[in-house]
Amino acid sequence: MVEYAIETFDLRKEFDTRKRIPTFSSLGQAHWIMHLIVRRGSHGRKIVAVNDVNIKVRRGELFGLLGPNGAGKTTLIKCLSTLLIPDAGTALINGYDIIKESERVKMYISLVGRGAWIGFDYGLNVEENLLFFAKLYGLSREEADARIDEAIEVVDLSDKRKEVPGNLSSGMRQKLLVAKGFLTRAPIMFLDEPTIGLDPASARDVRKHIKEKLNAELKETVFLTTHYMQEAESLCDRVAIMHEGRIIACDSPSTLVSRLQTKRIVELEALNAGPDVVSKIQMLDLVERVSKTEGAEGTLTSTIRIHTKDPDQVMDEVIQIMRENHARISAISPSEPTLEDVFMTLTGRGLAE
Amino acid sequence: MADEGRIPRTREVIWIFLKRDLKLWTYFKLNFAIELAGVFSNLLIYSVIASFRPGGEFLAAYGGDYVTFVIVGLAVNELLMTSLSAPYYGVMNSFWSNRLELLMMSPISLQVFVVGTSLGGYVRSFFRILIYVVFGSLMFGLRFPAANYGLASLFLALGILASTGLGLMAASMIYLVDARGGQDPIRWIVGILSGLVSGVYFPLQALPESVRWIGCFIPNSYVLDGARRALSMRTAQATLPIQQVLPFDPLVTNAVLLIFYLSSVLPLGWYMFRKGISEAKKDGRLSRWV
Repeated sequence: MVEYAIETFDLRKEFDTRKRIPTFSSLGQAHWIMHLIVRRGSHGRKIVAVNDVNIKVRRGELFGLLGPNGAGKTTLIKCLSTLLIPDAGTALINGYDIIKESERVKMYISLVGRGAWIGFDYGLNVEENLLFFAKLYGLSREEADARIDEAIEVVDLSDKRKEVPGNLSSGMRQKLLVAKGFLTRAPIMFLDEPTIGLDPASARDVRKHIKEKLNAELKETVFLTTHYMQEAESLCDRVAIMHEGRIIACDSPSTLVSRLQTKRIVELEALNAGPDVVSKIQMLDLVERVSKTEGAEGTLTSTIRIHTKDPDQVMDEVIQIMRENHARISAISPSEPTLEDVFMTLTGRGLAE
Repeated sequence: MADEGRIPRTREVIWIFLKRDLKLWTYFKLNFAIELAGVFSNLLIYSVIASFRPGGEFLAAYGGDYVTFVIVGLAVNELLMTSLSAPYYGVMNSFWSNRLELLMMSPISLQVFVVGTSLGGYVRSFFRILIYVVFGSLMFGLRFPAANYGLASLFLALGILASTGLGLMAASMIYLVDARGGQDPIRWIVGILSGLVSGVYFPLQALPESVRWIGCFIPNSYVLDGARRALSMRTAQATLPIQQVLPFDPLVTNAVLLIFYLSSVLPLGWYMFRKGISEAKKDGRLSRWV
C-alpha cells in the first residue's frame, strides 16, 4: 500500500491565450478552410496556472489548498483528476501516474466541483440525476438508493428529490452537486470549494460530513480547495497556500500560524472608516500590513487588523488618522495571528483581493 | 471503508445512459410529437412523388417500385446518418451541458462513453424506421416477397460500423479543428454526398457516370445498394461504376468494399477521436470553463 494518496512532481500547466480557431459554422465553409490554411491570429501569450508544484498528501489526510481566485487551485485539481494533461512533471494518485495510467486513476477519485461545473440533466429529477452518476461509479441499485438518501439528507434536499434541476435555486443546485460527490466514496475525494454558494447552515452540515463521515469514518483522503480561511483552519490537517500557480507554504494550520507569533497584531472595531483610512495607516513607518473586514450589511462598522512591531507607538498615530477622517474606534484589542494573516504575510494580499 | 478501485458494470452503465436518453427524448412532448409528424410527412411527400412514376427503367434493378425504393432508402439513410452523427452529438451535448468533465473523470472507459451517449440516437432511429415500414406497408403496400433479411442486416451492420468510423472522425473535429458550433466538415461532406450521389432518393443510374464515381467514396452507396438488392433480389445488374470494374457479383463487391472501408476508417476514426479528447485535455477545452 502506498504511503501517499497524492504525490506531485514538478507539476506544471500552462495555457496559451492565443486566439482559438473559429468554429466551422461561424465562418462559413470556404473561409473556415482558408483560416485553417493561413492560421491567422496565432500570436498570444502563455499563462502559467500551475508552476512546478510539489506536494505530498498522506492517505487518510484532510488536506487543504488555500488561495485567492486565479491562484491555480482548480487547474491543479483538474490535473490531478485527469481532466487536464500537465505540460511538465507528473503526479501519482494512489501510486498511479495521472498521465500514463489515467484509467486506473479514475477508479480511485471523486470530485465535487463548483457551480460552473453543474452538469445535470434537465429532464431527470434530483433522484434520477444522482442515480445516473451512481451507476457510472459501479454502485448497485440498493447501494445507490441508500447513498442517495444519505447524501440528500446531508445537503438538506429531502423535500426536493422529485424536482428537476431547473426548479431548484442556484444554491440548491450547488447542494445537488455536493450530494453527487458524496455518492461515490472513492478513496480520494477532491472538493473544489464545496461550500461556495451554500447558506451557512448547509455549509456547516457539509463540513461536518466531510470531517466526520468521509475523513474520520470512511478514511477517505480529502483534498479540499477553498478561499474560506476558517474552513481550512477548522477542517484540514495540513494546508498548502497557493499563489500565482506556486505552493508558497505547506504545513498544519497551527504551525503556519505559529510562524507569525513574533508579530504583534492589533484589532480595531471602527465606525465610518473608509478606504482612505486604511491606506493612510498602511503608510505609517511601523506598520507592516493592514487588512479591513466590513461589518454587517447596512452598517458602517468594520474590523481593521494592523500588523506592527510596536503597537504602542503606532496606536497614537492611528487614532490621529481616524480623528482626521471622521472615523471612530469603538474597541481596541490585541489579536492572535490567523491563517489569513499568514496568507497576507506570504503573498502581500488578502484572499478576497 | 471507501470503495477501493470499483469498476462499473458496462451493461448497467449503458442501460442507465439509454434510460436517460429515452426520458429526455420524450420530455418535451411537443418536440416529440412534431418529430414523429415529420416521419409521416416524409412518407406523404414521397408517395405523391411516386404517383409521377419517377425512376422509370432505372428502378428495374430494385424491383421497379419507387415507394419501396425510397422507403428503404430513407430507412437505411436514417440509420447511417445516426451512426455518422451519434459520436459528434454525444460529445457536443455533454460539452454544452457541462457534463463532459463529469463523464470523463468517472471510471467509465472512452468506448463506453461513445456507446452510451450514442445508443439513444439508435433507438430513435429504429422507432422512425418502424414507422416507415409499418405505415409504408399499410398505406403504400410496401412488400418484400423475395427478401433475404439476413443479408440485408449484414449490410446494415457493415454500414453502421463504417459510418461510425466516419462519425468518430466527425466527433474528433470538435477539438482538432474546434468544430464546437454545431457543424463539422466530415458530416457536412458525407451529408451532401449521401443526399446527392449515394442513391437515397433516386436510382444512381439516373446520374452521369462521372458523378456516380463520387458516390463510391462513401459507404452509404454500398449499403443502400446492398440492402435494396438483399430485400428485392432481382438482378445482378451493376448500378455503381465500381461494380462494373471489379469481376464480382455486385453484392459481393459491395460487401468486400464495405469491409475494406470499415477496417480502415474505424481504427482511423477511433485514433482521431482519442487524439481530439487528448488535445482538449491539453488545452482545457473539455469544459466550457477552464
